[in-house]
Amino acid sequence: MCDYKISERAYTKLIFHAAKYPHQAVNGLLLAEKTSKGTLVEIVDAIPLFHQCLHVTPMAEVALMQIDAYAEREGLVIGGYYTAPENFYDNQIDKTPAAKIADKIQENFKNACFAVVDNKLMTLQHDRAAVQVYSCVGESGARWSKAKFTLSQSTQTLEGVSLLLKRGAMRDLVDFDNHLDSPENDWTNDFLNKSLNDLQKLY
Amino acid sequence: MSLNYEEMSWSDVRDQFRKWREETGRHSEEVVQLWVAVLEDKVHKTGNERHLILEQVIIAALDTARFDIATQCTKQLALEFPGSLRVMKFKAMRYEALEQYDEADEVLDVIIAKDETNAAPRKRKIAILKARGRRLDAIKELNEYLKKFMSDQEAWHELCSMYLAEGEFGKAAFCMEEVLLHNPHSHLIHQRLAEIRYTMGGVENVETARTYYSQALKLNPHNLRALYGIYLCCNYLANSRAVSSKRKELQKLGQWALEQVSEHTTKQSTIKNNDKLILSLEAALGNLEIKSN
Repeated sequence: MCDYKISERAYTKLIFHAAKYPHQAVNGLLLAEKTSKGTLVEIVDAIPLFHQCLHVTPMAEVALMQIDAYAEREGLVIGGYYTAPENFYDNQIDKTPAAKIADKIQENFKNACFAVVDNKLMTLQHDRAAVQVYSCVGESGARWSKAKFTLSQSTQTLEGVSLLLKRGAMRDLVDFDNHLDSPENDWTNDFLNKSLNDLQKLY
Repeated sequence: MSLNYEEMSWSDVRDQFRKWREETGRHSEEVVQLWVAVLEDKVHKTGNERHLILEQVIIAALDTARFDIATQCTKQLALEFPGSLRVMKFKAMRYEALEQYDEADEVLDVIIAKDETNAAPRKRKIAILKARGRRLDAIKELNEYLKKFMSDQEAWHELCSMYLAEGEFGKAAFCMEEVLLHNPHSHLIHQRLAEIRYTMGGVENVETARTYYSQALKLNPHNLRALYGIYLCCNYLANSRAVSSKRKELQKLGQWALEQVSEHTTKQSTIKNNDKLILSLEAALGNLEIKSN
């Protein structure tokens, strides 16, 4: 059982992905630091994957392998999976799309987390972090139960993200689906890797 | 796509709306913004398109929770077409957007009773079931609907998505094949069918997937998903109980596909060393297979 710390970069990309496709389910991966500090796992980055047809596997396999190599290169590891359910009221783990990907990630990284976006908290003004985080309990089989998490620099992050949402910044986010449609789209979203303060100057 | 509202005249906006209608793109936020900024005052100049524009704005307004705009436009339509079933549908959609599902159902039932052949209110009822989270009921109703309105592509597509969400891949494949019958030259449908077959797993299904991916590629040589798909299928088949002669052929085909992917991607990609990331597929492919069961 471990706790998670979500960086502002990961939270921003996660929320932007869900906000860009409000009428569809989305999913993506979370990248974490390789070595956890005690029982704290630091989620450093988020890679948005798909926003259509999440239940079919071939492109997910392709994405997972490429992102694994990318994470290795950046000195990180695939440490989690996030998803935003299609239906507004769905917030339980068993109703989320493609949960098998999370199970697979957990096989490779024991402390992997499963983050589910809480649709009811997805507003233009975030007072609380709009995610629920789960981690794996028990040795055999993946059983997910609620885990504690903190958002790094919580108040500033929430305010910064809310401001950027109001200015429509999420439209520029690129996910793996966009990349497959047109390879010039960068799924690492390098342009979003600045601090929230710098991003606010752009929009 | 950012549009410059100050520079667009009402006729530009009208043309943009028409373009979106023809391409069946929704763009709800932009429609509402353009309506409020430009077109609202000048809509009487648009002649016969006025009613189509009003309908488009109503749907966009309901999508973005601008109920004031939606009600106002519906009233305008109701004045000109009193007692029209088409306008009544918008009344039901407004209830639906406000999550007053029982009232919406009542209005839709009235429309269906007055005109049995009207497909739209039946589909709205199914959408309400979906919004309420009653997916299995929605699937049942959609099946009943399709028995009567067999050539409704949109409905088959929706049923396919619902079956995929429930994990019924065989039935989803059947629905997608129905859509394919209406669009035999669509590379996207071939590709989607291939993905469903691949997900189902097993040598036969993956071989079928490979055929669909190849057809998709034939129809659109730039379909990146089809190239990746061919690579994945060849890899799977080569590793399974294939005859050695076929194995060589599959490996060659897979290798070709991966090279094509690398070529297409690295030409345009801005990610550093994207080709190395793609080559990692070769190394890792043995370890990863997400099974559907």
